[in-house]
Amino acid sequence: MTSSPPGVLRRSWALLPPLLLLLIWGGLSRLNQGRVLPSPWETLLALGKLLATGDTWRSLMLTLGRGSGGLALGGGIGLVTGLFCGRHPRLHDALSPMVTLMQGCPPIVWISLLLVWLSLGGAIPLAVSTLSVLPVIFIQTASAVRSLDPRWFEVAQVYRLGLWRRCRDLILPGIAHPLAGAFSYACGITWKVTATAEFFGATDGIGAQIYRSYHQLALERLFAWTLLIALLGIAIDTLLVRRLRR
Amino acid sequence: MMTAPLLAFQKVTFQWPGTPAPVLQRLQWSARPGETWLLRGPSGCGKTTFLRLAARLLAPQEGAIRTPAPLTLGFVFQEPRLLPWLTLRQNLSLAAPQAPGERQEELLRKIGLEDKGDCRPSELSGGEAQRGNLLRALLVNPHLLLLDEPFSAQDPQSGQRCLRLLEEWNQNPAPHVMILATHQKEYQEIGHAIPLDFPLPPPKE
Repeated sequence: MTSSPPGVLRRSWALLPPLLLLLIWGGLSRLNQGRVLPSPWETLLALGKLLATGDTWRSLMLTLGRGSGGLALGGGIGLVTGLFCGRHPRLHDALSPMVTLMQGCPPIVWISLLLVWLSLGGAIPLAVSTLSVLPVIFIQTASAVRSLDPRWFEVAQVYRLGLWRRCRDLILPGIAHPLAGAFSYACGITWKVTATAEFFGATDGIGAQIYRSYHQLALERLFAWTLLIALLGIAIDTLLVRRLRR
Repeated sequence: MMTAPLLAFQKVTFQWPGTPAPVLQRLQWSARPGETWLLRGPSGCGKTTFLRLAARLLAPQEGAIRTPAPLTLGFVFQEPRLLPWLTLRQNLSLAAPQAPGERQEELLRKIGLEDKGDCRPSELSGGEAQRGNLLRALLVNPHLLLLDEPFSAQDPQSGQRCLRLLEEWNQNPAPHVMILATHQKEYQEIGHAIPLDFPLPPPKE
C-alpha cells in the first residue's frame, strides 16, 4: 500500500528544478569568470538597483499598459467579429483566411512593417500586441459560438429573444468557458509580444531597456531585466491567468 | 358564422433532405380559436415536423403557413431545453420577462416545482425539467401552444398535474389553439381534442 507524501514535502519538490537551475547557473558563471554570464548574486544586485530607480517602474507600467491596451483592443475586436462570424457562416468563410494569415505572421513582421509606416514609438508595441491577440480571440470565439447547441437558438426564436438578450443570456454564458481559456492564453502572450516590439520599435518600456543593456553590453542589467520579465510572467500567471482558467 | 382560423397550412409540402417521400404533401389544414388538436401516430411519422412548421422553425418547400397576425407562441419541446447556466426561475423569466412574479410562483406551485425554482437544470430530474419546459410555454400566455410529447418523462401523478394545468389554460377566453403530440393514450383524452392521425395520407388528385 502506498501513501502520498504530505503536502509540504510535495510542494518542496517544486523548488528542486529552480534550485538546480541556480546551481548550474552559478557553476557556469564561475567557469567563465562572469565574462559572458554574470552570477546569480550579481544579477540579484543589479535587480535591486533597478527596482530602486523610478525609471524601472515607469518602464514596467508602460509595458503593462501597452500590453493591456493590446489585450483590450485585440480582444474586443476579436470578440465582436468572432460573435458575428460564429452566427454567420458566409461572413466567417470570408474573414477566416485573413485572420489565419494574421495569426501566422510572426510579431517581427508586424514590427518591421510598422517601423516603416509609423517610425519608432509607443504605437508600435500597442499595435503589435493588438494584432497578436485579435486572431486568437476571433478564432476561439467563432468556434465556440458555432459549437453552441442550435436547439437553444430555437428556444430564442420561439420566445422572440432580441439580439441583446441572445448575446447576454445565451451566447456569452454559453461560450464563457472557452473564451476564458482564449483570454488566458492571450494574457500570457501579450506582454511578451509587447516587450519584443519595444526592443525593436520603441524608446521606452521594458523591451527598450533590454535593448539598451544589450547595446551597452551591461550583462548584469540584461540578466536583471530578464529576471524581472520572468517574475512579471509568474505574477500575471498566478494573479490573472489561473483565475481566468478556473 | 365561422371564425377565421388562427393557424392555417395552405397546400404545405415539406420533405426532409435525403428522404424518399415528403412528410407533408400539399396539406390543407387549419385550426380555429378554441380548438385543441391531438397529433397521433408512431414516432418518426411527422408529428414533430408538423409542430416545428407551425412554430416557423422550419419553412415549407411549397405552400404557406398563415396566421391572421403575429402569434405569441409557447412550445413544449420534446427535450426540456432549459439553459444550463440559469436557474429554473431565470429560465422562465427569460421567456416571459413581463410575467408578474406571483404568476410565476403560482404556476410553480400548481405543477409541484415551488421548491425547485432556484435549481439549475442539472439539479432537476428529467420529469422536473420537462415540467419547467411546460411552465415556460404557459407563462408567456401563448395564442398558439405546441406540445411535443410533454408527458414522456412524467410519472402518472405529475402527468395528471400537467394535464390539469393544460385543461385550465384551455379554459382561458382569449383566442388560442393547442396542438398536442403524444403517443401516450392516457393523455389523449384531453377535452374535446380533434385527432389528426400521422402519417398523413397524400391528397386525393
